[in-house]
Amino acid sequence: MAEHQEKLQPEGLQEEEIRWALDFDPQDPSLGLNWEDLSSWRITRRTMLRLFIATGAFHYLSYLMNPPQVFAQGRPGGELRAAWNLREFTNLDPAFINQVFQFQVASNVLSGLTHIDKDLIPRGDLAESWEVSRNGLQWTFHLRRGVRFHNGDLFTADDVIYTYNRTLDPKVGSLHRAVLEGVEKAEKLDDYTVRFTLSRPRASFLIKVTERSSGRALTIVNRRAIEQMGKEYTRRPVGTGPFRIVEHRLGERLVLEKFPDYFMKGRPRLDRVVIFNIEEPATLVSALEAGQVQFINAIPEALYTRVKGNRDLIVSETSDPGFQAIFFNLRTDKKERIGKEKLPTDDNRVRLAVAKAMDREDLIKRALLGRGIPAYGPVPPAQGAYFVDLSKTSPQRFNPEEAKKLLAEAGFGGGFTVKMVVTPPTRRRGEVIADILKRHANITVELEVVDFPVQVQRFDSGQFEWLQIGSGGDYDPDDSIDDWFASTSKFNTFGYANPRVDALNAAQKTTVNPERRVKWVREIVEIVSRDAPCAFLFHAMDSVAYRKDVRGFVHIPSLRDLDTVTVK
Amino acid sequence: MKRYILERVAYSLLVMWAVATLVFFMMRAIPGDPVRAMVGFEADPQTVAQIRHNLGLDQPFLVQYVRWLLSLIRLDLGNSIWNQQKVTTLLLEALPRTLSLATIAFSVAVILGIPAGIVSAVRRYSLSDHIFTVAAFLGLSMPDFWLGILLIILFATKLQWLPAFGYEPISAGIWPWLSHLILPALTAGTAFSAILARMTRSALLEVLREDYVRTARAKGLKEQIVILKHALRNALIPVITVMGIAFALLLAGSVIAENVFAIKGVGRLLIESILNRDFPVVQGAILVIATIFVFMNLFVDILYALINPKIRYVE
Repeated sequence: MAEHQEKLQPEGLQEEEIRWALDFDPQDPSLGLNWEDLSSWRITRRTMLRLFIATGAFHYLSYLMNPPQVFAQGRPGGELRAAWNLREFTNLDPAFINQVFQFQVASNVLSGLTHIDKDLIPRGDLAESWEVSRNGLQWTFHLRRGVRFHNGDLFTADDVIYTYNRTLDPKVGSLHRAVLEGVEKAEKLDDYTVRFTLSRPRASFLIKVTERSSGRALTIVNRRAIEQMGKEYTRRPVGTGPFRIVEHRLGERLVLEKFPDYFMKGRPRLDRVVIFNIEEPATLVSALEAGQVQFINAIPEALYTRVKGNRDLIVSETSDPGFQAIFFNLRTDKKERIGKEKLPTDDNRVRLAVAKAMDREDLIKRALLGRGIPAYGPVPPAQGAYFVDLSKTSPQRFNPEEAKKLLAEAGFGGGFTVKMVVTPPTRRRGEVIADILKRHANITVELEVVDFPVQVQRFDSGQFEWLQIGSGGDYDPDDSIDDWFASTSKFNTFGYANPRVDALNAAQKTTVNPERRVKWVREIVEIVSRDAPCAFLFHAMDSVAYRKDVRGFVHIPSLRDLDTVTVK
Repeated sequence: MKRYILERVAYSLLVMWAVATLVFFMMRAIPGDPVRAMVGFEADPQTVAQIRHNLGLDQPFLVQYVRWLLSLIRLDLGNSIWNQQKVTTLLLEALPRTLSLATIAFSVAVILGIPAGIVSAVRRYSLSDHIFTVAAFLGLSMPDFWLGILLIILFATKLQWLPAFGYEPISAGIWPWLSHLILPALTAGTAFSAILARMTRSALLEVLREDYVRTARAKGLKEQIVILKHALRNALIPVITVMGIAFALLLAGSVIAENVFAIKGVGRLLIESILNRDFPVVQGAILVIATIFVFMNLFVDILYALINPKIRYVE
């Protein structure tokens, strides 16, 4: 064998190189390569070799080297130490998760019927396949067989029905009950088939309802565990995901262990993941630099350059599906609410002037250290075809001369004073916004810095003049539009109403024709940009940092799925 | 003495009830709703109402207050609104961390502060006095969080001698426990050591001018005995008061050190609960801290009598 190998080995290739090149998980779309492998000033020979092997060009080598064996003695196993920039995983029960950082963890432990990939396309997870009826009202899911929960229970259609009923049960108080609005019923057809009947078609059904991470309404939970564990389930949920929780010290650490019966063979590759909670940004980054942890789930804004400049660390970035904006209070009942009968921004010209005075490049540079994309509408570039590039056409694009002209027309040529609600974490951004608007339009923005619960309360009840807020984890246009800009949207507390937007929105969310949906979504984006119920600011970047010995991380926007990860 | 202590304990209970009542109503007076803080923007109004009902937050304040007092008598502090854990569990988890950190930080403060103060007083205006004076001012004026971050960069990132964050219980071994506490204790203890050094110095200087010290010296006693036995004992009275306050403050949680080093202690628990408007936890934590303060005061008063026999509490 050794002799043959010698002869067949392409000239100059070392056995170690070939061994390395063969050691990847065929199911891992990144082939175990990381950003550094592909983006350094030249692609190394080893990387090239792996790419060749993966594409079949070196197919014979894999026979020669007996791949299963090589695979087994390769890098799987080991422990990853990670840190999350979050004070605690308060609630990992999908019914109560309302934070991206928590569903990042839950997504490693629990599964949905579908799961999005890095292009935000839903793929089968616990569902192997599905059909939609022609009228778009009936979704039939064929479930994967032989899937086990972490407690040994077999996963069947009953678990889907149980999860569905639990989310709807008012006594449970699931935060995601509203997501199931428009689902008339869920039926078990047999042990491995379920059917959902909708009252009207829903374009976002696969992402908003059945998806593993953001679709927490139907992220599958285990009945026996919930009944046995009670409130403890919120700390250590039992699911069918690649990792199971073996220890959870609230606010300190969460220990995940490989679930040996996970349905996808060869995954997860790690044996153990320890996740620490570190809220202080400087400590988070220091722990990574010192190697005390190998992976951090987010890079604190202020320390971005320090992380980026460190040669031992790799930064992975994607555009975060979401948007940030300054919302103007347009409510007609605001006389009682905020004690002001009229606000300058009741006038569309003034709203556009604010948007035009907003030098987004400057804001992104100063408040975000360059990590963001200027926004002119709610749909982020991450949503692909639905995204409209308005950077050349939007009436909101930066133009201080026009801003001044519009203000003069509206009778505010000398500027005006307004109050904007921000929270301590967004204060710095608020200060930069105030500075930019002062400079370009002589608008004086006074910041009202309030704690998060106060912000929620004031946003809810419309008690603000301006308020800086945004959306995140928007995998589907419904997250960007239907949640915000229809007159009955759940987050539309700012009083925006445009019948045309309402009609288009009703059409886009119920169509099953993707082309028409794209067209309608794009039209809504253009109208909202023009009506300017808010001045759009930026689409944020989603960034992760890890040490060089961490490989195979597949960066799905907002998510931190660790099942493909290995450590050297 | 016994009666004095009993009386003091009775007063203490009264103080604690007053504190509890004050906190109960103050927390409800500040804006921000705990349920909204918990669910964020996601949930619809019916769900919020349901959660409020489940938690009994839809009851009038007075009903909530009486309920809370009644369960307090049974030593039940209720459940956290934020994460539904029992408040006693949360406090019992946080207390060992805070206790460990406070003890080490207090030791740091005493070990660094008192000798420095003695040396400064005895060798007044010497080089060592000047060095200690400058060090004390630095220690006092450096913000805790900045000192903490500097210590992490030096000892965890550059030298890699000590961990950058976290806590290990003492059951995991002495070194794992201690190594996680050294940097936070330095962070929390430095400012107190500076205060103690300055206090010791001025108190000792005062006493050294007294007649009885001159008498002791005139008797031909060794300078060491004069200072340590005669002068220091009297000088320590105000220092002990400050030590008591310092230890109580450390026991109430070193919020900054706990935050920087990601240690889930009492201080961090309290601050987070205030931000989340988690009423039961704030009430429970404040009550525990008040208890610590009240009894620390009592303990210090008793300690006076032990150190200085001139102080007696009359029956």
